[in-house]
Amino acid sequence: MKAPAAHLAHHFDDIQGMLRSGYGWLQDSRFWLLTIRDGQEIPARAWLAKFVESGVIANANEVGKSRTHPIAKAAAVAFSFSGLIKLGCVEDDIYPFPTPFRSGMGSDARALLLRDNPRAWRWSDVDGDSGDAVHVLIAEWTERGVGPIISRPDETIFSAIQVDNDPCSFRKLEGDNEEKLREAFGFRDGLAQPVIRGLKQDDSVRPRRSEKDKDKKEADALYDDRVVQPGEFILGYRNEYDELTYCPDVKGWGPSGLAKHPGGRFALNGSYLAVRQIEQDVAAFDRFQAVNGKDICNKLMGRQDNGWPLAWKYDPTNPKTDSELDAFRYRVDDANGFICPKGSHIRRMNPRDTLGVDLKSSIKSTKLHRLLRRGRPYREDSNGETRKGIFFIACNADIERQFEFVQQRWARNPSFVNLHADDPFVGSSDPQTFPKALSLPGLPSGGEVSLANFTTTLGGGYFFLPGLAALKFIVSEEGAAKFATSELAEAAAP
Amino acid sequence: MKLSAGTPDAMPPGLRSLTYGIFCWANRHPRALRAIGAVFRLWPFVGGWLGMAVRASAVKGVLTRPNSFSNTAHAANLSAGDYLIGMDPDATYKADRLLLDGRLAVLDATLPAAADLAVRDYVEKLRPLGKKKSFDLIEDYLMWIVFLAMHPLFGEATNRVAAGATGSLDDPGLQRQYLLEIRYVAGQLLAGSSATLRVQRRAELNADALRSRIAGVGQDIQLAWGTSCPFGVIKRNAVGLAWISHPVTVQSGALAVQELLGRPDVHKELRGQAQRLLEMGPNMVWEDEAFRKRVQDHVLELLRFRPIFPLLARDVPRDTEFETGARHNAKCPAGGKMAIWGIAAMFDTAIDKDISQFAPARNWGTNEDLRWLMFGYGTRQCPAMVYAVKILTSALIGLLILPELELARGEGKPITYDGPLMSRMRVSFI
Amino acid sequence: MLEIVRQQMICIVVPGWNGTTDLSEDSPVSTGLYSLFRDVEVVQFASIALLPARADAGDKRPLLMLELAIEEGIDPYDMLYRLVYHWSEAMWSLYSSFWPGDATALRSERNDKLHKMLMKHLSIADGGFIGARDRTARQIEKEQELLEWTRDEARAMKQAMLYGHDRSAFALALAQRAFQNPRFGWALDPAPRSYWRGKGASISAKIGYVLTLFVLWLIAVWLVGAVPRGALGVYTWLFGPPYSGVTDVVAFISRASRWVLGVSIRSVLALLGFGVLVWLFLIALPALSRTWRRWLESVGRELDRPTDTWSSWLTYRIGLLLSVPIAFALVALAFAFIFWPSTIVDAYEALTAKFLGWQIIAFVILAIVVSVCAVGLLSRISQDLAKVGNWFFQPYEDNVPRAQQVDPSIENSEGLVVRETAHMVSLTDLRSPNGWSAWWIRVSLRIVTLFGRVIFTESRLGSAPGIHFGHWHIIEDGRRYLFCSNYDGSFGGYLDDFINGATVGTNLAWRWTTLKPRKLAAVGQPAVEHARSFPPTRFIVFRGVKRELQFKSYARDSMLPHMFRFDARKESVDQINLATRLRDALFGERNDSNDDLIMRAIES
Repeated sequence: MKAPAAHLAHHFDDIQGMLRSGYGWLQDSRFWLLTIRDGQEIPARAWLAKFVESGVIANANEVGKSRTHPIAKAAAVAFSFSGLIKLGCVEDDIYPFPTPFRSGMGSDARALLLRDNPRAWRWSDVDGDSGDAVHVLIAEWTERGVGPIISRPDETIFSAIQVDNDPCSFRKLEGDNEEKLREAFGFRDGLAQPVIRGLKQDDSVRPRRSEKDKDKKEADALYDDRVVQPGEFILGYRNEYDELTYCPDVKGWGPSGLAKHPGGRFALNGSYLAVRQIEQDVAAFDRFQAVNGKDICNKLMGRQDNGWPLAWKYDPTNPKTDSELDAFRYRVDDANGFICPKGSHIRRMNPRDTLGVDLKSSIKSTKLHRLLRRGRPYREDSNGETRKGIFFIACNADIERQFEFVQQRWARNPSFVNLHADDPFVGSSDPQTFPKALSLPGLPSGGEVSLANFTTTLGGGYFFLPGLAALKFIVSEEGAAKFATSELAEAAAP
Repeated sequence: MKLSAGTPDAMPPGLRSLTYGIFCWANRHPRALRAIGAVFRLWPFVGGWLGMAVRASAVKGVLTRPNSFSNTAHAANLSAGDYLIGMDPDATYKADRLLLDGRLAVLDATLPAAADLAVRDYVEKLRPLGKKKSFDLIEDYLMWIVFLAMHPLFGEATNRVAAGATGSLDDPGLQRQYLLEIRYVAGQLLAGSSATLRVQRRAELNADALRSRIAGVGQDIQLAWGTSCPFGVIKRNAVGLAWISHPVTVQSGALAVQELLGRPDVHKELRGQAQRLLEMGPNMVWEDEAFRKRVQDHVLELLRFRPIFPLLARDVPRDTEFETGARHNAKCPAGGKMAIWGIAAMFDTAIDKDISQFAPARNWGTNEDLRWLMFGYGTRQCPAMVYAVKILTSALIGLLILPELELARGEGKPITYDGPLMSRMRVSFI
Repeated sequence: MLEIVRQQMICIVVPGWNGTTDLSEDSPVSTGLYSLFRDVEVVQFASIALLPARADAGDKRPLLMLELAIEEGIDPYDMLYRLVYHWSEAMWSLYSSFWPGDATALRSERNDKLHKMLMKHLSIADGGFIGARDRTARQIEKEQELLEWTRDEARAMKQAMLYGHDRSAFALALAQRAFQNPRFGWALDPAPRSYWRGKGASISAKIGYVLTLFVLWLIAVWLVGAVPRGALGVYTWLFGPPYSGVTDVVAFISRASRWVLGVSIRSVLALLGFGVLVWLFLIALPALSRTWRRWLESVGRELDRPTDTWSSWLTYRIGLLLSVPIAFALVALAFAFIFWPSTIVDAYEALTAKFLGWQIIAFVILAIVVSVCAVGLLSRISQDLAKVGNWFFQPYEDNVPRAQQVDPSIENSEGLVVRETAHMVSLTDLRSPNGWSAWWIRVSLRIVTLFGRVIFTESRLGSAPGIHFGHWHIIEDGRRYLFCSNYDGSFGGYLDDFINGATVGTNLAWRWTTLKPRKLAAVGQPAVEHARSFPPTRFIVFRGVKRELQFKSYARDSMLPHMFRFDARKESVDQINLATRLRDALFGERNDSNDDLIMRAIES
């Protein structure tokens, strides 16, 4: 037998904190999309190294202690494939990066596979129509009013796109006991996150695992539905196939001696981020709501705007935690979508127990396609016009099996579960597909509403969120760069 | 018209092969069918229970009541689309029949001279083969003679039909392919819905090819026919005429020769007469009307023993009954089917005491019409039967003036079947 | 029964492709083929791919593969005949480069030559599965029209507000309108289905079929003995005994018939015995005892476990030690029972002569108690071990090199059909010795085909959904293995369905294959630079594909892009099934379930 695999518990301090928490208590956020200017690789590395050393990049250990030692600010750094190359990383021959990440979300092949036609993107992770590739993604979260961590990256080194959060996205409405995240159309966001086994979110519900416990609460009974193996989100650990997730490697990583785990590869403790900037047409949605009413809008989403499942009657006197709000299934109570339409957004994005031959296999197969969402609503004021949307970030360990599958087969597949239109919110924005129909079964003689285009994707990319040791390797002078330059020197040598 | 082509097999595995196997075996062994038929003739009420008309009177009765016993039973087996043979006698039928009769009438002028000409041509081609060298009676003789003799049916368009819209007119391979194509389509009429899936699908494939072929040369046919009928009507009738006329005649010819070869005495005697005529003059065999009549009688008698359709089916659209010949009539519930034992009726001793004997010269008297029973009976009798028999008569004369034939030896089975159909008959000169 | 499925999916693999024919999307050859398949109407799916030559092959030129999925019951000979002799000569234009400069010959000669060559290189599937495309393309098309018409009609009716709130009145009105529409006259007949999907769909029909066959067999065997015996008896009664030779022959036949009868009945009894054992240990006991159930589950899990751990390693080794002797003993016992039943009777008599009844019963009880204790102990140990240390279940690194890599040509092929039925062509090598592997694969594939034809008639293979066609071919004299499939969804999702929904079948179909390095077939096509092997299995059917990373990389590397693709219908399997159900509901009896089905069909 070969070397034993890494133990997740021993690596918390190497895993970036955003994999453990969405930083719900840090209500301000900002995303930077940085393109390193040609010839500015060395200053860029230095700038990044300084940023990393400033200690703002929280690790999972710190996040885990946040209840007792709250973090006031946090940041995360991720790189697109072209960014890694730009910064001097060279793929290993035997353990190269997966094809989707290497080709980039902005590539033509991905446009086809993600059903992204037509694309009019402002930015992407590959050079092309949307300009130069974005190399680095920096996300930062701060407490409200504290102000940004990064004032502005050096213009001579980077060209930067800044995406600011919507200051009104955390709101306290009637019945809420605290401020909650709401996206631009007014729905609660950030619900129904997978729970990583061994790396739990800070959550008020603790599972009661004992089978002898007769009076289990419903939430606990369905808790296992959302517990997912760490390897689905963090590279190098057991995934839902009970296998160790594939870890790519870069040249020079082994000799650098930075690996925390003996023999561990570069990508260990990392994750891939599928990022999309999605603009929401709030005016169009408001018009739709004015015509059709709130109930129909809730049906499009598949949840009540306050986050409660459609099947439950909202009861402000009995507040429920986010975890409790996630404890429901469809198979028995709502197989035909009479309550939550089969084509509604949340039922498409997480079909729970519906797609397989039985309950167990359905949940098992759904767990192969879960995404850990870390996006935030954003707002953009330009020329006196306010545009809102969501800066969508999904962490996953197998882009093809997770993000791309969900996008291609569920969200944008018009014949998903025998329907004939794609997702009401994140479906294709191809004008030919409009007006789009959404079936609302169970109205007296079958219902259908006609939808306008509510969202437009403005840009997107795949980024690699490295473990902290690997991050050091990328930004350090003597790590990746040394190897890359020596490669170049070798190539140049006669 | 077949509603859905390519229907999957709804029978449990094995059952279809079993029933089709029995059906084919019975078709290839008319003697066995005659024996069973004799039993049913003796106790006609048994046939009555089972919905079978067996006695000559019963068969005649059923076939003269087209409103009660409908031809639509054939419709399911017309893989190339609706045609006269599967229609109820409605307006379409009448119009189509008129068109068809017009086409057939052309043959009045050309037969038997055209057939004789073709036969003489092929006789000269085959004669040099000599002894022990076998040839296929179907593919090397009958198929072409019938094709040439029926040339006037499509007139000027015949070669175009055979070559297809884009094919070269002097490509014999394409003509052969056309003749095979129509054979498979016709085969389905004979094989029926009990046929194995492969046979049915092959018929459908070839029917598609035939339809597409006729559609491609529709203009030529319209011109040749000189009619102003709508294009759809021309297509329907041209397709039908193509697949039914030629293959059925060829198959009947092969059956007649098979029966003849099984009766050496009859064969010898007939040959003797031909030789005598030949000695009188090279053209006497073709010109002597009495001899021709004699040969034609033989053809009919041979076909009586080996009819191409020994059994026929009819649909029963409404409740009715029929006279079996027993004391009580047999009831036929609506929606059912009737089986008509033509082969048994033609051997009914009510016609003649010695009916089981091979006697071409038999005087059928008032029952002359029953002599043609293998071509159907009554209003729905085959309208082309006279021409078919004329062509076969010519073909048989040709064989009589060739050296004596026998089934080829030493090449495995001389006769190969394709379901109930004979697909090959290797013969050689003695 | 299997032939009918196997010949529905055929591949023609012609070696020596010189690559001079333009097969790009708008080339005359491609458009010609496309209209040919449209015109012929019975081709459901067709594709062309170039198979790179084997590394050790003499001819280094690629092989041209034409894959055809055709409708049920058509003999490949007839199909190729129809295609080759089609007036458009599209097939000739595809293959003419095999006879360079031979365009002048008579068309019929060309066609004959081509037909002969195609028949020579024809390979009917060694195994295959058909999901919802047992229907003809024409049926699918018509039913789809009906579905769309129904939805449009319902939309219009809703707008007219005629049938307000009553679902059954609404459904009735829809059914009436469909019934009155002359376009749908064909729908009056119930949707045609093959026997196992129609009349024979019930489990009782299936069991009944087997029983009938067995009884018929017994009767036939009995008659073989009884008829001569009876005839001899009658003869003897009438005329006295015949020659002794005749009597001997009759006696021999009669004995042989009795022996076959006995063996047949005992074989079935032995099979039933096995069935009872399987039922007892895998179904009855787990239902009764939680310990047993958990123990069984953990054994299954450990055998399937993709990563190396001590737990899985030990389970496999102990399993080998225990199960192989037990299996041998059982088979030996069964054979003894079938062929030499007297040995068992003798042994039993010897036993009863030695021991009294109560002693035997006591011994059996003792054996049961001991085995229950042993199992309990084992499960105790396995549970305690889990507590003892993580090391027992700790996975060990198992590195799959170059995983998650996709060739750009494959990605492009997949991207182009993302809105249609997906398609994959995979070419692998048989493990040596080839003959041995080929034999095992054939047996496995026949089993898969049989199950697909008779049991999995609801468009799912095992529980893997969305398969239109899937077929396997052993080509090149048992050297290589070709798999072509059409399915709904993406490659990854498709393999996920196989891994989780049809583990056994997939392992059986693939475990005797490997992937050897090979050159690319043409510019822009994938080559195999590094050999790969199919993930190792345990007890033939465990693990294997459960090693997702290795299995997917293996499948990915074995894939080839299509150069031409024709699909008669673009509907998904679920849509096809829905349309058929709607047809039967609209034109069937008016009852609540049909009404509901209609309403749900228009609501989806």
